[in-house]
Amino acid sequence: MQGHEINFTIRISSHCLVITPQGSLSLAGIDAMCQSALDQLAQETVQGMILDLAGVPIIDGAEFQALLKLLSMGTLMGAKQMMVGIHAGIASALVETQIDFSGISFAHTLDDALNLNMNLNQ
Amino acid sequence: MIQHVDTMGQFIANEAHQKLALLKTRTFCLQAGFDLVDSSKITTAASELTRNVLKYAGTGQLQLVLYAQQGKTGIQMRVSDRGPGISNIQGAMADNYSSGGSLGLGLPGVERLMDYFCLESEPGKGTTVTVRKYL
Repeated sequence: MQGHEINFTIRISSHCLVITPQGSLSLAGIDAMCQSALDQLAQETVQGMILDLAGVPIIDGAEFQALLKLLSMGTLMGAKQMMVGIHAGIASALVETQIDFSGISFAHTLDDALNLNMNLNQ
Repeated sequence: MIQHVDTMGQFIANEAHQKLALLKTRTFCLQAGFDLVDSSKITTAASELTRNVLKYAGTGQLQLVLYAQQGKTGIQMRVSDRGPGISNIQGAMADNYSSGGSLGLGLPGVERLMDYFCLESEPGKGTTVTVRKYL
């Protein structure tokens, strides 16, 4: 299967690594994003890792599982993880996946997530 | 009597085709009058079905039809391939079943997202999944 690159940015804000993919995802693209995020996580001192999905219009079950794997890796490296910005339509579809969401924290917006993370660390 | 209002088709042979098909599907649904939630459900179903095409058959196609029948308007999506087919349809329709290491919704998940679901498959000849969502 041909790989499909995805657009993403990774930056640090309020001691959190903020990963922001934009547009359509792919499994190969998520792997590349995952590698970049882990490289940054290894180099920087951060307390949290936030995956901002506000710019992603479509996520299917397999892609969501791959994103969860990215967050799990961040947790193993000592960063609290949070997922934000999931569109209502995607949320309504993902609840059909029977994926276990219990270990994940969610917030509505990036600002909410950063505030939550700051409160947790105070 | 079924009246076809609009149609869209996309050949699928790689992930770039699949992504194009999903973007077209989402746009088609929104233009047809579905809200964001239902458009995402239909697009997610399209994503799952076309991912199966790439994984099991290699190539296939997605067709969307906006239709009107007896005062009801809906979208019919048909994803078909000429791949190996499904030998165990009952198993494929069971939750948590996968023969290809899939992590997705699976066919039962697609069925839950849509209002109508029909799976036709014959080993060695291919698979066609037809789903509908009503406005």
